[in-house]
Amino acid sequence: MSDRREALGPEVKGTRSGPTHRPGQPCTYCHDGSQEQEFSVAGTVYATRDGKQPVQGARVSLKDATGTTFVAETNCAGNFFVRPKTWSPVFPLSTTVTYKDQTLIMESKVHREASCAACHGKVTSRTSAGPIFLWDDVNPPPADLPGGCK
Amino acid sequence: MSRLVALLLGATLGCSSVDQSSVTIATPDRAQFPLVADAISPSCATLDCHGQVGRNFRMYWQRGLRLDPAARPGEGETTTEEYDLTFRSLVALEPFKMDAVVKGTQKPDSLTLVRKARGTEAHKGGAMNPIGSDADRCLVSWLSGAIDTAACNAAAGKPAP
Repeated sequence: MSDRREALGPEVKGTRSGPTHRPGQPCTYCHDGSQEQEFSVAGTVYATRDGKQPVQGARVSLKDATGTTFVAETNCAGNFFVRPKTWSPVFPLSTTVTYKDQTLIMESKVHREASCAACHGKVTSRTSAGPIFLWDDVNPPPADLPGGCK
Repeated sequence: MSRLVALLLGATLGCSSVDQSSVTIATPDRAQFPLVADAISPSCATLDCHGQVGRNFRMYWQRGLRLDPAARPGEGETTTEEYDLTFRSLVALEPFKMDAVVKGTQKPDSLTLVRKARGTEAHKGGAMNPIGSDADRCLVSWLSGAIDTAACNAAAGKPAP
């Protein structure tokens, strides 16, 4: 097991394995095709900067270097993932996240990293831009926002 | 050539009478470096590329890796200290070739930095700054001692003055 995989720690107790597990973690550290199925891009979208409330139904639009666009939708954990057989992008990627009329455009391109959380870690620091989030204090999320798995 | 930079090599090596604790090389103009850094950072300094602490060519940038532990990507501006460290990282990649390029005895594309950015040498990120692109002209002109400010501003997405 690689060091970075091991550093993620064990599964949270009571969490079901599958597409809703390990939200906010760098998916492709494990989902690289060696032991787990490969993802070409994967990540998690939250409502606000604190990364507590996932957003279900956010549309993650990814445009690659060839101009091809793929849109993924987040699940109840806020997770999205793309399998290579579905779309195998040529980096760099331009990324936009939308939920209804709320839009977030990523300023920088994604040049090589397939896991959003590798740069958008749960904790904001000098090496991490923090969680991907759609709303802030000035423009708070809607009260009826879905998200969170039952 | 605008300035000389001494590269510290740590403790004095061996018993030679020559002082080997530092080497002085010619470097491009540090004062103009922010123009270059702002031009190449969007394609080079993101957190998933040279905005990582493990890179030999480590770049600090307002939207990428920050120097101050309290600073965050996307907040504030690139600081003087961040430009300083990126500059040092860049000129120290191949110090003797850099010295020769600045003195005009070798061409800019003798530097791996230039070739990798152009994609003419194997580069994980591919051809981020192809030959003749604004960012390429900015970098090469700076290395050659006559910076193309318009190319730098265009690469950085800044409006023409």
